[in-house]
Amino acid sequence: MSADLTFAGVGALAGAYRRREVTPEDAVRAHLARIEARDPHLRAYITVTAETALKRAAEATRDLRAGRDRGPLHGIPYAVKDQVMSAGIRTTAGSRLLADWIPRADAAVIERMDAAGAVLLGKLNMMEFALGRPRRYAFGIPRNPWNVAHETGGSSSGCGVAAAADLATVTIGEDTGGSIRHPAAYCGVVGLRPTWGLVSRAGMIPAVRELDTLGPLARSVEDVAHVLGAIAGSDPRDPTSLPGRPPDYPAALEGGVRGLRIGVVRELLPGPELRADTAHAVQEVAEALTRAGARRRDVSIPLAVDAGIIYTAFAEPEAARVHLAALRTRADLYDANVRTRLARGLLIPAAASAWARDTGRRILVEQIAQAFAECDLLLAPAAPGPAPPIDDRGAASGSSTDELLREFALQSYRMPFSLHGGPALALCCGFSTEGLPLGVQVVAPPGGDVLVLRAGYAYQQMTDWHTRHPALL
Amino acid sequence: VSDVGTPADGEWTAAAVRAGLSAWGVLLPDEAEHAEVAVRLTLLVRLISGLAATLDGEDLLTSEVPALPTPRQEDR
Repeated sequence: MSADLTFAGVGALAGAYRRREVTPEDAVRAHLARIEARDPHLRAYITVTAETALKRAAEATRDLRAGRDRGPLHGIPYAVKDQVMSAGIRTTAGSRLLADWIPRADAAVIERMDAAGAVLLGKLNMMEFALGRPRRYAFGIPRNPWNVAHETGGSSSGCGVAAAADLATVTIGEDTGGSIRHPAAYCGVVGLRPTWGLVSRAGMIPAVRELDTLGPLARSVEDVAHVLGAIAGSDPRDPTSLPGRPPDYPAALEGGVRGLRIGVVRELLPGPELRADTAHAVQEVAEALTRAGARRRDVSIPLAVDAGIIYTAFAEPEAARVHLAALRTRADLYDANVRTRLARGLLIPAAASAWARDTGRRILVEQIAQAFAECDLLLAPAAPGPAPPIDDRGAASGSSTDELLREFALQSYRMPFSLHGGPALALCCGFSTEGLPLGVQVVAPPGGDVLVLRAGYAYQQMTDWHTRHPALL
Repeated sequence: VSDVGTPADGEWTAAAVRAGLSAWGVLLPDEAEHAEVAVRLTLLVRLISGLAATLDGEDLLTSEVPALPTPRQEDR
């Protein structure tokens, strides 16, 4: 291979390994060198597992030479959000509370990536306990590779940075209220929130159990499909995991969009706080898919713009319940923004929380189901604009009513689909005049993971946004 | 998680937040955070109450629990 090994996707690396042009050791060494050079500034990683990665890469190389081929992810360097337990490797969940915690067992997704032959490079930076934007990141502020003065999105912040800056070939993040799609949109990569229950959450530190979903982030839809193929599937250790054998996702990518009905969500295009450049870019996605044979229609989800309110009233009490014991004894170790969210969660009236959970969510899900009666896929912005500048003054999040209302407005784009539970794929659909990525989101009914991957793949075949790399200093 | 001293008018104060958290055995290390939580909580409860009232006519803030029937003598 002539190109930098860190720029190569799964397919290119897998082919080069089997042609014996390069080895997994070469790819892992290239990534570790890039991490050493770039990550002190980008802060994608909390922990880099260089020694074990090199050992695993050597094993992967020997196995391939001996004909023990584990498939497309064999020898592929990957990294995982630090919300996922890793045996013998500290797992912090982005929090000072767990700064020195070393689990004894791997999470299911790490076991499955191991079984597929992938090589773990390390654990990725994140917003504390995946509970929204902190006042200060406990392990350094992750920076957007397209402009280091800008935010990365989150809570799977390091996943977006590592995928965009070629610090791992593929990554695995977690999405509760949008935590995969947000950094995917801001960092210009592909992020999939799979159907809830498709990927086992055994060994994952929970944020909001009824919504948490593990999924891949990478530069291309093809690479995301490879990772999903490795990590999807039922697991008796996670009682919410779906039964049945998942399809061959990479093999299904070529299905195209001809004949599919694409529903553009009226309330989100245009939606709250939406910038003109993003609106234009998402309209162009709809036009591109139409040219590829899809049929466009406009659909309505009236409650989408209120999804952030419903989500918060439903999710914060659950998060507070998870953290109650630690709040009682070590509240001072939490980030201030996270702590005040959890405190609110303890005090939200049960009537409000129960209404949000049982009625508000049900009505929203019914509205989304009605939209799907008219279309196969929904299309909406993944974020209302490009990544904003980093506010590193440590300001409180949403300290005035106007700021709080704006926070809820910004949640309109991703939270409806978190509450819905179907798959949602975020991907880059252009760049702003400042050179920052813009993101679109494709959503399907639960179980429609192949559909969103097909649509995303078809779009990437028509465009070259995903082939661009940030010019890192 | 259940109700801890919800103010009847839905307007939370820093003192009410402090008392509510105290009932859970939680102390916030920074006094200013109580006021911050009060603002965030008041707004959220009003927004969700407004949604409930609009969507299915339910008044989450002021609805009264109907008086429970008094057990009859013969049921005792």
